[in-house]
Amino acid sequence: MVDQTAPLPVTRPNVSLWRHLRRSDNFNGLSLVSPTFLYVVVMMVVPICTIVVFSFWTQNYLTIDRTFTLDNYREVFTDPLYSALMQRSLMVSGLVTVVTVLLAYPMAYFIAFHVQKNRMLWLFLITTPFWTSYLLRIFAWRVVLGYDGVLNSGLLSIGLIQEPLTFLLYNVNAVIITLSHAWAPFAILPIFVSLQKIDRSLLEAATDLGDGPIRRFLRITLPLSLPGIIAASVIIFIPTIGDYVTPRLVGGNNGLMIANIIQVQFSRASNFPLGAALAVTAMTIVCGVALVVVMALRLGASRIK
Amino acid sequence: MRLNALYFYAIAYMVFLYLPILFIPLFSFNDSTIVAFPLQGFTLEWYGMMAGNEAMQGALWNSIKVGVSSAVLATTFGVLGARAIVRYRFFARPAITGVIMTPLFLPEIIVAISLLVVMLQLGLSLSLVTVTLAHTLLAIPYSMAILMSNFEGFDQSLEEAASDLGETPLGAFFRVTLPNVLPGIISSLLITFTISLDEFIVAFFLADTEPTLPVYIFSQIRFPAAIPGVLALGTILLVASFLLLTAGELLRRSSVKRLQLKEDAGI
Amino acid sequence: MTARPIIQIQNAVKRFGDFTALNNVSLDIQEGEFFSLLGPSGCGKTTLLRLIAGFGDATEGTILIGGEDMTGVPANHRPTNMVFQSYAVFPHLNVADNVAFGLRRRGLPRAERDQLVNEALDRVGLSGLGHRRANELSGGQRQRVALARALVLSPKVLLLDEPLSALDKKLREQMQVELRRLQRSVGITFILVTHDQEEALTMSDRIAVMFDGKISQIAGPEELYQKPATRRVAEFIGGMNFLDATVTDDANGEVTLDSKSIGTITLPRPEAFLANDQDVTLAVRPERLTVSENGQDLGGHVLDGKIADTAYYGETTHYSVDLDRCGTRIWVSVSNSHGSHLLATGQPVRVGWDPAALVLLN
Repeated sequence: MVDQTAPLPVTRPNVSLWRHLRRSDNFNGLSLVSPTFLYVVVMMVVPICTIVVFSFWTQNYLTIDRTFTLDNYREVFTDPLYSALMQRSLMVSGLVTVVTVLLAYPMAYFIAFHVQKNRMLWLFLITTPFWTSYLLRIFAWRVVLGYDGVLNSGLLSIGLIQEPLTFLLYNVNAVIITLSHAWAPFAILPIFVSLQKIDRSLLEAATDLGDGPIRRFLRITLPLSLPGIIAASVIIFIPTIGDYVTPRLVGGNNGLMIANIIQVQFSRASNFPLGAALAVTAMTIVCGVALVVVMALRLGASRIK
Repeated sequence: MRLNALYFYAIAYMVFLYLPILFIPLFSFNDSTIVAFPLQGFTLEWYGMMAGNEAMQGALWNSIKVGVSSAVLATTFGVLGARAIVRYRFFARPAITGVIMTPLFLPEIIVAISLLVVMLQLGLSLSLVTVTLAHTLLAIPYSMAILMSNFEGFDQSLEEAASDLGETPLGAFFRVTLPNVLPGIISSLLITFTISLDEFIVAFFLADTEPTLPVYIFSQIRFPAAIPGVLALGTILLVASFLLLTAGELLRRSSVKRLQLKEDAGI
Repeated sequence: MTARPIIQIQNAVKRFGDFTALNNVSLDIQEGEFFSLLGPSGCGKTTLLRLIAGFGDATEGTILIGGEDMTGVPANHRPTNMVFQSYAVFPHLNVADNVAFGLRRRGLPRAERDQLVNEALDRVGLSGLGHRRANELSGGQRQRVALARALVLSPKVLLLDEPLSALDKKLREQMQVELRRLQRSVGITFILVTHDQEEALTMSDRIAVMFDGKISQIAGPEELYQKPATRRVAEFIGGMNFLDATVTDDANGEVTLDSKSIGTITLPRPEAFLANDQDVTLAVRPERLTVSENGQDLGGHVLDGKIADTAYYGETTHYSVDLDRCGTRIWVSVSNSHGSHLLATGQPVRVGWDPAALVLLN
């Protein structure tokens, strides 16, 4: 029987340490999250670190020379081919991002503000193409834009053109069109989510305070949806720089991008360290550019009054 | 007026999204080896040819093996990670979440080359196992996203109620948590399977001797004579993906509907 | 017969990181009692209830149920059951399966289990709804399921976490009566957490009022209302007038006080120690005051003043009166039962008061 008058000892016996642990958020959370976290670390973080290390080594046919060197980076930054590809990649990724976000915004706006009943159906229909084979989507554009493809043959057969148009496929434009199409759903979702979150009474308040529809959009809707625009931009800009399939299938020689040359280093040319240096450089530049643009957008938004 | 303009824009956008893809099934029934208008007549020849194509069937089988394994793995990791993140406030939670979600942003070529280098450094040969492991990595963020929203909709007091009514933690998980999040888990399995089924870039790098379906398609695109076959195969893939996604979406919605109960009670 | 406390909380402290949710709380709850934990949100009442239920252990101190130390005993091994604020009715099970949830672990024969379930459903007025799915139920019905599900396990103590807060006013009042009746009929201890003072007063045998993780007062409803221990308790349980006063004499079991508002007054000495010149507060409920026009002599103690404001509530009218003597504004609540007419703002009135209605707070 417990003595009810004596003050109870504050210290807990050792046996309850396990119990105490089992009830702590840190212990439960970390032990539960660690398999997933460790998997990502082993499969992503470690390999990426390996790539970084590799970029400071050199390769002679099949043997790797493990002495530290900056030769690969010297080559990356001095060879005009690489800087030309890098510039083109940044331009293509940038344009794809801008085009995709600009095209996606009205669509996201439409679903967020003008669709009442079947919102989930619209979102589902928009995201579905994204899940269907990436390769097939590129292939589809090849079918559409090809010399004797759907567009040319269609225009020919209705008599709008006399000869197939040659500027459709195998150039940078084709790459931009294909990539914009491929990434469209990824732009709509984050923008939609940020628009959806906007409290409708804010818009009514702006109208009540004298703003017309356009001023209201510029002063309320646009700044409040900026997080969605930023998320969409980052999620498109960074991955597209690493795309080598689209340039290869629809870009022709003038549409190649940095990822194509990286891929070549890891396959035919078999110069892993140089490929690694190219990949590290590309990722660093892309992340740097993304960071600067995001900061600039945030700064710009904070100026809107 | 503005609504109408937006509505037409939305329709045009959907046409832009779907039209190029719809040419694949359209021309897969066209009785011509050249993919061009005008259409030459209806045929099932290209579908018939698939029956005897052993290389293609091998690739299909590879894709299914990789897809099922990576879907199960990614969803398992997703369940653990999503539950930890939704349920507990632990040390470095935002940073850990960030790392787990990073594959979503990472160019696939980076994943591909870095895994390639590690495998070769460790002296391991490339195989479908490598592809599976990589696909698991790529699919984890999607699984996490689905399951996190699923777990967030799950009222924590349900588990406490089970425990209060005498159930052990494990029993509470099986009798209460699992039945309620099951639709989300199945939805995650379907979507991660679809991701793996459609993934090309990593599979191309990591398994050239054992091609998956997209790798096989890529090898065929170069040959004009093989294009109709690719169209037919592509059509089947499109239909399969669409069906899987629809099933996943319907399941996800039914689970949301069921869990809505909690929201009503809160008002 | 000496009733043994079913629940003993001894020096319980609960900290979440730097935040102290419960600060050295000690409390005994008797068998068969309807006990309420009342306080504003964040006062620690839900924390205390969850500690009793077994969701987490106290950082310091002990909780005993039926004389047994519950430290380290998880919720599923405690003789308590809980009705959650969100009800936590399992959405994947129908009503009968929800009620049978805890019974299933006990390995009863099916017929016996079904009978218990049906009895429990009858008891909460859900007879014949066993096959309904959880999402087909109204808020009130869900709450009844949660009740039946907990009671069917015959707990020693039933814990109710703000069970009525999600219901509309009418249903809430109906459920207050029903819960009280249910507690009487099953005869077990109910512990109710609520922030609604009226709810606590109508339903409870005893109430613990909590602020900032501490218990300010434990008393029955009437004592709590008439004799609040602190100004904070008095303010939380209905409105009160507070008047400043100073102790001038303390002799023969009586204290003499001097107040700017009401002059000199002698009251029975309270238990608390009072020193001369000590500042105290006199509290009086607005309905314990009377108000009359024409300077009518009411006998006893009166104060003259003018009506400053009038608020008509139907059953009652609230007047705020500025006292001539010192300008202090006091509230008077008058029952409208006699069809009395409203007094106009600015009208001179006489406020009558009874020393027995004064509560001395220090």
